[in-house]
Amino acid sequence: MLWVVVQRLLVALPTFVGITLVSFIGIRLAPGDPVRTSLDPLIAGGPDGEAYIALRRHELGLDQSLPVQYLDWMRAVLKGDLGYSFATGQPVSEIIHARLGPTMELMATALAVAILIGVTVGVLTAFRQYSVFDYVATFASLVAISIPQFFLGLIAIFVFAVTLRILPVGGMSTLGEPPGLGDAVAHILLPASILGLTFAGPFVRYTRASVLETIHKEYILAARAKGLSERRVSFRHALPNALLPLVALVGLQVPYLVAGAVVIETVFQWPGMGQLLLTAFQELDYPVLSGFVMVLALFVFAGLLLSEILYGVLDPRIRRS
Amino acid sequence: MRHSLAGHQQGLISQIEEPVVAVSVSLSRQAFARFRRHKPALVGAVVLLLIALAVLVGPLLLPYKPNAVDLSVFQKPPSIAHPLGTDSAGRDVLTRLLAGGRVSLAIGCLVALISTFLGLLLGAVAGFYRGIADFLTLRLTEIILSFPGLVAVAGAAALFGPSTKLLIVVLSLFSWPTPCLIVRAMTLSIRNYEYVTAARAAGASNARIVLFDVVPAVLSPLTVFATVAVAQAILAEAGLSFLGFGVPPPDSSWGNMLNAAESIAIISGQAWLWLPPGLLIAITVLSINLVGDGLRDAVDPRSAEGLAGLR
Repeated sequence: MLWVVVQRLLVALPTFVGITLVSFIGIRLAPGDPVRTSLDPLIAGGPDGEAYIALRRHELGLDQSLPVQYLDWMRAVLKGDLGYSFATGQPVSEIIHARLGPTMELMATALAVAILIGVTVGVLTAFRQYSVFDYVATFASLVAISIPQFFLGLIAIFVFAVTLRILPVGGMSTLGEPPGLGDAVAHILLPASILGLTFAGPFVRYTRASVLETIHKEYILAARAKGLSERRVSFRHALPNALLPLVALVGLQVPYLVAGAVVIETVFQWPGMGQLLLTAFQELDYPVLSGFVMVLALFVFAGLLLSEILYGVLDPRIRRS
Repeated sequence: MRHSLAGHQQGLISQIEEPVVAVSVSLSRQAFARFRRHKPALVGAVVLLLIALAVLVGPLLLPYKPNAVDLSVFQKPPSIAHPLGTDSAGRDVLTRLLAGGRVSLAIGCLVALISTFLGLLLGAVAGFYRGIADFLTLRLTEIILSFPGLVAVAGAAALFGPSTKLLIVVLSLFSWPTPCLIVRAMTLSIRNYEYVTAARAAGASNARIVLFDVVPAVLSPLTVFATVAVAQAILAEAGLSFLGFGVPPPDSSWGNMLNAAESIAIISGQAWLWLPPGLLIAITVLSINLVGDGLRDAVDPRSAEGLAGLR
């Protein structure tokens, strides 16, 4: 098992380096100059403007060639130094650290909602194949993956925050009020359930397919034939085998979850990584962007690796092969 | 309708039961028959046709230009003159909705076409030449698949300035890995078949083998991919334009019309500005997904039992 993890890490390493390299160079090849963007036009247009810009570029290391810049950055990253924001001068690790919490909170809650709803509904539809419930739920899960997440968010704001006035419009907490659990729950309820609902769709479809495949296997027939109760057949023999592949699905959903979180954070003004990313793009804040991309990639790989390890722990066949 | 459909099924069953006729039912005809029996897919196809027709013909019939500013009627609720009201620049929402539909649908179709073609090309190259070409292609698909495409497209738009062309190119660059993996797997298994060896012995070039042996084999999974890719691209366009990174104004698209709904005042007081484009996106994408499901069941009867994957 340990060997599998090491093997996966070795395969992931070039991909990880690839992602940071492509994004690092891509970001810097784009037109636009971070120094000019953030500079007061009066200074830039003044008598010493060009000299000042050249000095600033030198300070930030932007006058080096791209490969040199990348190697410098990588060397610093390996020492745990992500550099400083061009826009604010704050350490990038601090900026990302402050934003990571809210985004993790949102993604974890959404994932829990998605798995809870998706697996329950998926199992029920499979056990009642071709029932009215099956048709309604299957159709609903298709609708869930067909509606833009932000549109669902707008409708939810319209209904729950504007019309019914029972939930806040956005943000993480009410300004000027002491932080409390009730307040936090009220704020996360809409964004997390909407993100979760749109991700429940794939879980329903996958669970249904997997359970259907399993309950037609011969060992299920054998379990029935030896007189086991239907409940025991379902819960002891069918479900554990059918739900196993879902562990892998969770890992595969992480990139989509990240993208969904960016959009949902914008709709609900959730102070997470998504909002940080959008401003960093506008300000051409290279160090923040590169750090951000790296953290994203780490997220995705950690998700994939975790789900693979879990899969191995749960399925002895994978562990031994 | 119900009757004729039942009759059709009856006819099909009797055809299959008679051995002489059964031979003449070709695979593609069987697939088509399965698609026709998939009622949700049929409904989806009809709705799609209607939307495409409305989007193509509609703007020609309406008296307004989609980008014509008329400050005398700005932010007016729906009326007889403006069935879906007007926006903050006095532009007719219905006209912009139909004109925007052209943009959204065109983006969806172009991205699906380009990414399918790219995937076919790279997948065939990887499968045929193997070695370093295969290794590089696989790593590249891995990088792309493990990165949130939406974030990357938003980045490209922010760095290079939003434009519809850029949107199509970058979305395509993030969509080709799936068809590429399909084609690569098929090429790898097909290249060892004896009829391919025979074709090669007869002097067929790699391009010819791809065109006449690989393409027919992957046509059905690629069709299903392309259908779903249209839906995915429309959703991506909507999300990106909503964030301000997609189709730049003044041209309309379903996504950037929703961009107007960023203030609470508009969400609560002017629902005619954001509900119609959002609903149209949802209906269009749902219809495409229904057609995609129907196609999947049609080309792969196993999946009718619910064994197919997801997304």
